[in-house]
Amino acid sequence: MRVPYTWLKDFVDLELPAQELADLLTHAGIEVDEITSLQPNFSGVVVAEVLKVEKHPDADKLYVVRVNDGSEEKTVVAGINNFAPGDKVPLAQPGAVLPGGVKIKKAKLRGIESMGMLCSAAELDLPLNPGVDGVLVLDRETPVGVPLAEALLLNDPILVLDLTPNRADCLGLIGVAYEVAALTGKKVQLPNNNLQLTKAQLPVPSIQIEAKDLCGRYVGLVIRDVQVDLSPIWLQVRLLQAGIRPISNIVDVTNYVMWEYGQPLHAFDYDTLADHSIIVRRARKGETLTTLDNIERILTPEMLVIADTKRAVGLAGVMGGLETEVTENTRNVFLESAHFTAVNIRRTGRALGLYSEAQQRFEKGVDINGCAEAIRRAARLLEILGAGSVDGEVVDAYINPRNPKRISMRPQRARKLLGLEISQLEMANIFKRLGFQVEEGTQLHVTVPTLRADLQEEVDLIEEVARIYGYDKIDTTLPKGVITQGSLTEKQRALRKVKEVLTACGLTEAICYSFISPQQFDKLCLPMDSPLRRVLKIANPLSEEQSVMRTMLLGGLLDVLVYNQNRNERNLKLFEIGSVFIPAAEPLAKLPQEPTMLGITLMGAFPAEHWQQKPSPTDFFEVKGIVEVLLERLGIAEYTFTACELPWCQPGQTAALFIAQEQVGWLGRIHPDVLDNYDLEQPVFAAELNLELLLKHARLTAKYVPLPRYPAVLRDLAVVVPDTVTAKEVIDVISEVGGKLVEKVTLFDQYRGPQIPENCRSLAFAVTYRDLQRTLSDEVVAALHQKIEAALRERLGAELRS
Amino acid sequence: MQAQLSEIAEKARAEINAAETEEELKKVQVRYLGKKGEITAVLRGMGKLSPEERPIIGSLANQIRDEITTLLKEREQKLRHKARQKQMEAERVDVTLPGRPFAQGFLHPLTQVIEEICDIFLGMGFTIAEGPEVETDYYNFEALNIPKDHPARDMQDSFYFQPEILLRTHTSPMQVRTMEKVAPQVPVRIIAPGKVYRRDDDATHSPMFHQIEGLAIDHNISLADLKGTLLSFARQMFGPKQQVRLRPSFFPFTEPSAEVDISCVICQGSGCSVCKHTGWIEILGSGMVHPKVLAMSGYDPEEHTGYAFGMGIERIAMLKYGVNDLRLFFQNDIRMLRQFR
Repeated sequence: MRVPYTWLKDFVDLELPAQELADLLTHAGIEVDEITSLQPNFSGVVVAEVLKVEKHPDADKLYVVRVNDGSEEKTVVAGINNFAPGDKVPLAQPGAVLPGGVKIKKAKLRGIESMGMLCSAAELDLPLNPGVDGVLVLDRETPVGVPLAEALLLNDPILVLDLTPNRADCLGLIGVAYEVAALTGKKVQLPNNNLQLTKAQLPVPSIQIEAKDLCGRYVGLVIRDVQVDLSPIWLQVRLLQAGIRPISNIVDVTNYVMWEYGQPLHAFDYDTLADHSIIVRRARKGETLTTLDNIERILTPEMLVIADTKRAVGLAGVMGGLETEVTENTRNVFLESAHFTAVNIRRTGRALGLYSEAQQRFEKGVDINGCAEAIRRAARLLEILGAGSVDGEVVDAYINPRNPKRISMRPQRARKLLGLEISQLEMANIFKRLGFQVEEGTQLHVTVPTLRADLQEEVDLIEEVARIYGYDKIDTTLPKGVITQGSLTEKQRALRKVKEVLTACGLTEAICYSFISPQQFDKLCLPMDSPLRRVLKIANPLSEEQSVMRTMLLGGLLDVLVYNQNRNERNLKLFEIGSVFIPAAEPLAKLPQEPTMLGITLMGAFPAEHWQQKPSPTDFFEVKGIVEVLLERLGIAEYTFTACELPWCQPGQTAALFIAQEQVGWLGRIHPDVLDNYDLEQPVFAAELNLELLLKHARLTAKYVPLPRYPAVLRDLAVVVPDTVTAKEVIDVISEVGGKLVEKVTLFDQYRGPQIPENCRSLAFAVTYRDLQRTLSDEVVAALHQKIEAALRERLGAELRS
Repeated sequence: MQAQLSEIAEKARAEINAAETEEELKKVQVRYLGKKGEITAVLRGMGKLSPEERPIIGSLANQIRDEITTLLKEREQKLRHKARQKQMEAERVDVTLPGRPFAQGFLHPLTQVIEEICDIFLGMGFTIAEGPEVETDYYNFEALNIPKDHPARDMQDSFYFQPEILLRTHTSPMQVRTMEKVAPQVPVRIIAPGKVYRRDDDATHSPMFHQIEGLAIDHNISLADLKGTLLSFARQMFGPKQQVRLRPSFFPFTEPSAEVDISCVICQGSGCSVCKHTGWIEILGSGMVHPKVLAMSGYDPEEHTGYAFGMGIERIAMLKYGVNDLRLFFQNDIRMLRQFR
């Protein structure tokens, strides 16, 4: 809402500078976004009066104009003569600068010296509606000699309000004036709209409201003998300040009144209304209406129309119809000032993609008790402009008049809720300053005008008290009462630990969008029937790229790798912790599952380039190592990695992680096809774990294990096994046969080579033997070691290497 | 005999001084003090001396032996020191060569800010609540006093899956979920961080961003308490000189409602381009929980009052770190992420 400062002064005394007024409003919750003006883009232009116009003696198309610029008479040469003596016109004096940097100088035109230039609206870059091309003829009352910008209030401050949706009352200047009055202690002055009512000469309009649920009131008034013309410049300037394009006096006045009262008006050409009738009804199925913008609209029965006995003539509250538009041929006008149900207007506007100023006001709610006054204001202005005469009386269809609401407020409740010591008298005064009626008793009974529809209950009045009194005068205290303990839940602590461990492992956290492109699944080579393709689809996405909810984190992390690779950052260790979205059923009947997942991706070589050490390419065992460290730090000891196959992973370098027979995630090398699809140039190793499942097993608090009192005995063990035998199988046998005397089995070497048979490898282990009760003797260890060797030979076909 | 001893001593002194390595010195020691050493030999031959000579020569020989022992020790120390010096000289490095890097990982700046804010409120007795990102219309709007067709829904253009299921547009649904769970018990003090989604994508909006919600309900919570809580938060987050300013505003689920400004963290209130020369910057929306919201979630508004607030994490992070473009947070450019130590 744009509030021109001088226009606002019509309704309330104002001495404050615009900036102070803006601060005052902002601190009362009417946020002023900026202070602007029409910002004239010229200088050196004054108002001059035309004294004499003559043809140029030596040029057919030029005129010699004698003007008074307020201090002296001057002669200027003009190319047009759309003005007469007595007219006020803009004179660009020598030295003036016009928009576009045009400098005005004295000039001789066919022998006559011109002391400047008479300007058109276009030459001054003013979007006024001058009607004809030519010199801008100003209002008669414009003072001569005054700079044009000053005379037209082009530098008048305009406060641009950023209104919250509850403050529809401030969508009219009078509403703003009430607010200003309350804040400054001044009184609101309303315009005198007394009409000289005469007997109707034209048929009295018949108004019939059929859709009573959608139209609470319909006020009409006929203006006869209309002279459709341009509005005076002062009125056009005010509309420009409001941000509205001037059109004609009739239309301009309806907009002008809307800006003052917040009540949208519409003007029909009265003679085009069949039977001089107005019917407010729902549109019929398939009914059409060509609106003012010359678009034929197909209407639905949900839409409210203004109709005559024959057809729809307007989309109620949204846009008028073309056939009943006021044109220069219009003789009589029917003015409409009505109240429509906000929700219906909103829906109609949405359905048709329209968002007019009138519609915005109806949507946010206009004052049903302001309709009649607004129409009187319009009629009064039209009379003042000489644009027509009121014909007969205001016709008012108002079925269930709405009375101002009486709300009670307990002063003590207000004090308690605000934490503010404020007297009852002071509260009562605040309401009075807002223009509300107050009865005082043990409670305050406040009668709130219907303009302030945002005030519905006690707490709303309490806010009014705080707002006008000033939020800055409220104390700062801390909640009293029972002390509460702030602490993290076990899961929250575990999640923080996960992040701590991963960053300690050198991984950096990424945050990707939760919505992805459905094509991501193709890039990840997911088969068409993959359950991961069962996604939540956004019905109204911003783009295809962000149209479905992710079911895994990998895709987003691969995008991050590409993004960085393309910026020549080729060595990356990343993780993300976030939700994925698994639909419960299709169609979505209940909320989806949102498990928290951990995604990891590694690419490039590590550690970083250094003069002492060369980086080596990352591999499967780095990502596995990270997962193992994580498990260890979370206190999870019982887990297994099992070879598996996944569509997006390279076969033979993929494993599933199981904890207590439950798969909690996977890790592996990303399939070269997937790398190609993403344009990734280096191998990528990744993991994705379901943290919901994983953290169930976490034991964050460590339990102390007594340090051993007896020494350990170390024995190496090298076996040659066929490739079909896994390291885990070997270790399992060692552990099983060794029993509790085997404390640790560490694989320290894997070897294939000339001395080893084909399709076999040598695995070397360091086995730590320890007895917690006594010092182990060499004999015991040797016997056990031999037993283990025998078992390996027997069970796994292992050959021992010396 | 005396002359012989003096000669031996002389020779020994010279040889000790001439020894350049510990090895050489060892040889000298053996030569004079070893079992077959020259001084040992003299001492052994004492028996052949006359009783008069014996003590004189004996004392002299002992004196010389002691002297040589001392000299040997001194020389040994000197040589050891020299050798060590030499070794250390050989091990000299260019200390300006770069040290070995230890690979560090970094938390996303938004995570760091969320954890910092959570920790501040944990210290004030709040616990952390959680809730789903895909929400029902009821929790996201209805239960927050935003009925269908309420103009306030325009403020938050939403992503829908079905007419009743959408991506939450704010963290406020977690207020409702918390209240439903614990009502009518008090006190309630929660903070609820999370991702939220709105249909906006331009230089200053991201379709996904983060908010953190706060809620306190008790017997006598007041607007002054809200102001005090937020002042305490602002000072812990941005520095002990922070001021807060509340401005009336509108949210359907709070009444009275307030926008909260803090002193500009860039210019400390003197005026700069970030605060548009006002000295203040808006960081969050807040208010007293609307009686309708309390009632819908199981509290008697006559009995209990509460405050609620919600702030944008990205905004806080931008202020804290001086990041000037919201979209940087979701590009995951490693060169950016590495900056947030």
